[in-house]
Amino acid sequence: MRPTLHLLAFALLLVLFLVPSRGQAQDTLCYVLMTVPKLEAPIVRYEMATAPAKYFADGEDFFTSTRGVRRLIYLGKATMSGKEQVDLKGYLPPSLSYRGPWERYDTNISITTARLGEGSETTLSVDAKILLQGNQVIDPQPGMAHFIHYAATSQVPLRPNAWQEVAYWSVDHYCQMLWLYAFTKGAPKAAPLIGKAQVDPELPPLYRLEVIIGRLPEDSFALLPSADAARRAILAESSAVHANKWTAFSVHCLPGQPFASRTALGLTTKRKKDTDYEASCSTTLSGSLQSKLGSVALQSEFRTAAPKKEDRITISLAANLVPGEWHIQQIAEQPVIYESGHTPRRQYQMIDGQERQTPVRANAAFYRVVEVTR
Amino acid sequence: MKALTFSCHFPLGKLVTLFLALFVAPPVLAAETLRYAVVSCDNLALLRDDLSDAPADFFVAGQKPVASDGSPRKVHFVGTVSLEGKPQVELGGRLFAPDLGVSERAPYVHLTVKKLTGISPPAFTVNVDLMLMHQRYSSKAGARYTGSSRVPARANAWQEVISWSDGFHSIWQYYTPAEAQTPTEPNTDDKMVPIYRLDVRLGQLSDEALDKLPRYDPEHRRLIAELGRWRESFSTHVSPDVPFQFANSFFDLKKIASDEGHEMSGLNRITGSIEEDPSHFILKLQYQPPAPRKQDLQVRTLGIEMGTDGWFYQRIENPPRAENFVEGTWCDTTWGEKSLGVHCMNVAAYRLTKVSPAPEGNPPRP
Repeated sequence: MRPTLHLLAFALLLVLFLVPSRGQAQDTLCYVLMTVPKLEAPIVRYEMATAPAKYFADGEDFFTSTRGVRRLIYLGKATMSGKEQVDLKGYLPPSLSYRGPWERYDTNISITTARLGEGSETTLSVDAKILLQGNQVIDPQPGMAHFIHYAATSQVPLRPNAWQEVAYWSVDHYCQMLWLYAFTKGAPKAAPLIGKAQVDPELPPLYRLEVIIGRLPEDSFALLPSADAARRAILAESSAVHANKWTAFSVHCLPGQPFASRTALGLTTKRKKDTDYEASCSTTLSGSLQSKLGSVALQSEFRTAAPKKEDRITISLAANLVPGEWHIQQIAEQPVIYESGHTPRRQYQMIDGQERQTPVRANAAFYRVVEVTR
Repeated sequence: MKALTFSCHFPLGKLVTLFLALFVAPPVLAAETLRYAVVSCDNLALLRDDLSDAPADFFVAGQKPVASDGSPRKVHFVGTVSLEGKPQVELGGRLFAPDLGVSERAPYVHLTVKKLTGISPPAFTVNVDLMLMHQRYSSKAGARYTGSSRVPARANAWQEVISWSDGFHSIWQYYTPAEAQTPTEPNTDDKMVPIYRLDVRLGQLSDEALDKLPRYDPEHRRLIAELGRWRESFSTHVSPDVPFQFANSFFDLKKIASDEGHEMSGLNRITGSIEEDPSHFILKLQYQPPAPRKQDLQVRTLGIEMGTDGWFYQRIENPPRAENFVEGTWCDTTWGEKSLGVHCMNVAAYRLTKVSPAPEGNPPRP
C-alpha cells in the first residue's frame, strides 16, 4: 500500500473515534453507597478525590488505608444523556448491604437526578431515599425488626469522570455516604483534587453543609462568644460531641436552591400499622443558602422527632457562615434525643439524693459550610 | 469631709508603724517554683487550648472537672516544688485511688526535675514515673508510664511535658521564676539547644496501605496519623543528641507481687535520640515490644530520616504480635481489623514539631 492510503485510513479512524463524543455527552451516572466508620469520613473524602471509576468491587470491603472497615453497596447506573431527569430504583438483598456482622438489612433505594443549568455550570439536583429494613442484634430492642430511612436533596456539580459526594448521614459510630461518578465519554478526566477545593471564580460557588445536632455542657455556652475558630473546631470535631450526638448529616448546596436531609429510625411493625409513625421518628433539616459578600447565609429549619405531635418542634438554624469555620448555636428548646423510634436516650442523674434515669436532651447545633470544587 | 475626720481620729503612732511596715520591712518575694499536674483526658487538643492561657491554679488535685466539650477530665496530681537554687528537685506522691488492699502498688507519681545550665533558651529535664489503675479494670490491673522530657523554662505558662496513649494521660509544667530575678539578656556563651516535640505512634495498617503510604502527600499522611486508631502513642520533648526514653506497661496487680518478670511482659519501651543535619533529622530508636516469655524479649532497631513537616512512616519488618498479656484486658480491635488477620504492630509514625525557640511568625498554639 502507498503511504497516502495509510494516512487516509488513519484519518478515517480518527474521525470515527471523535464523532460520537462531539454530539450529546454520553453521561452515565453511577451511584454507590458506602458505610465507613464516621471518624474516617475525612480520609474517605480525601481518597475518593483521586480514585478511579473502578475503585471498588461490589459488596466487598474496599481499600482500607486504616484499620477501619469500609463497606460498599453498589446502587446502579442511570443514563442521563439528553434527558433532563432520570430515576433510579433498586433493591439489594441483606447479603449485599450489611453494615457489620450484627446488622443485616434489606435495602430499597430511589434516586431521582435532575439537570440544572447549562455547560460548565451544569449541576445535578439529586433526591435520594434509602430505606434499610432488617434485624438489629444490638440495643435498644435486640432482635426486633428495625428500619432506618435516610433521605436527602442535594446539589452536585457535574464533574466529568470523577467521584462526587452527594450526601452523608450518621446516627451511630458509622456513617453512610452516597457518592456519584459521572461517566462522560470524550470529556477529559476532571483534575484530581488534592487537599483544598480548587475554586473557579467564574462559576457560582457550591458548598458542602455539615450539621451535627448534639450536646454541650451548659457552662460551655457562656465561653463560646470568646472562642476563636480553632477552638470551635476542636469542640465541633471532638469525640465527646460525636459520641453524644443525636444525628449528623451533610448535603451539598448550590446557593438559592433548596436542600434537605432526613433520618428516621424505628420499628418496622409499627411503621406498617401506623401512618404517622415514621413522621414521629424523623428528624429533618431543610433550607437554603444565600451567597453574601465574604460569607454564606444559612436559612434552615430543623424538625425534631417526638411520639406526640405537639412535642415535635421546629428549630430555626440560621447564621452568616464563614466558609470552613464552625458555628455553634445553642438550642433553647432542648428537645429529647430519641435513640430509635420512641425510645429516648437515657442518662443516670442524681435528683434529690436519688439516682434517676432522665432523658438526654439536645442543646447544641454545630454547623459549617465548606466550599467544594466544581 | 468624712474622710478627713476619720484621718484626724486615726492615731498618729499607728500611722507611723504602718508607714514603716510598708516601706522599711523587706518585701517577701516569691521564690522560683515549678508546678506539675498529672491529667487524664479524652481530648488533648482541647486541653492544650485550655492551657494556652490558663493560670497556675487551673488544676485542683482529685477534682474531676468536665471539659467544655462534655468529655471527662481527671486531675490525678498537682504539686509545687521550690527550686531555691538547687540543681535537682523531686516531687510526687501517692495518687487518690480506692482502697485496693495492695498498698505497696497503689497509684503514684514520681518526678525528677533537673535545671539545665549553660544552654539557651533555658530548659528543664523531667523524668517521670507514673502508675495508674487500668481504666477498665480498676481493681485488677495497673498501668505504669515512664519517660524523659526536655521542657522549655517558659515563664508563667503551662508547658506540656509528656503524654501517653494519644494524650489520654499527660503531664504539664508551670514555671514561675523568682520575683527578684531581673530578666537578663540571654548569655551569648550559652549553647543554642532547640527543643522539638516528638510524636511516636505504633499500630497496624493493611499491607496495601503500607505499600501506598510513601506516595501519599503530607495532608493524606496527617489524616491517617491523626485518626486515633493506634495501639501505642507517645509524645515527648527532645533535643538533638540527647538520649530520651518512654515506656508504658500493663500488669496484673496480684501477679506482680509474686512474679518479678510479670511487669516486663507487658512493657512497651522506646529509647532513642535524634541527630540534626543541615537538611534533615536522623531519628534512631530502640523498640522493645511486649513479650509473654523472657526468651521472647527482643529489641528492635528502628530509625528514619525525617523533617519537621508533618508525619513520617516506617514499616516494621517482622512485626511484633499485638497481644494482651494481662488477663482481663483486650486489644481494641475493630471489625475491619479482623480482616487483616494477625494483630501486630507493623507500622510506626513519627512527627517532629519545633517548640523552643518558638518558631517565628507562628507562635505555638499549645
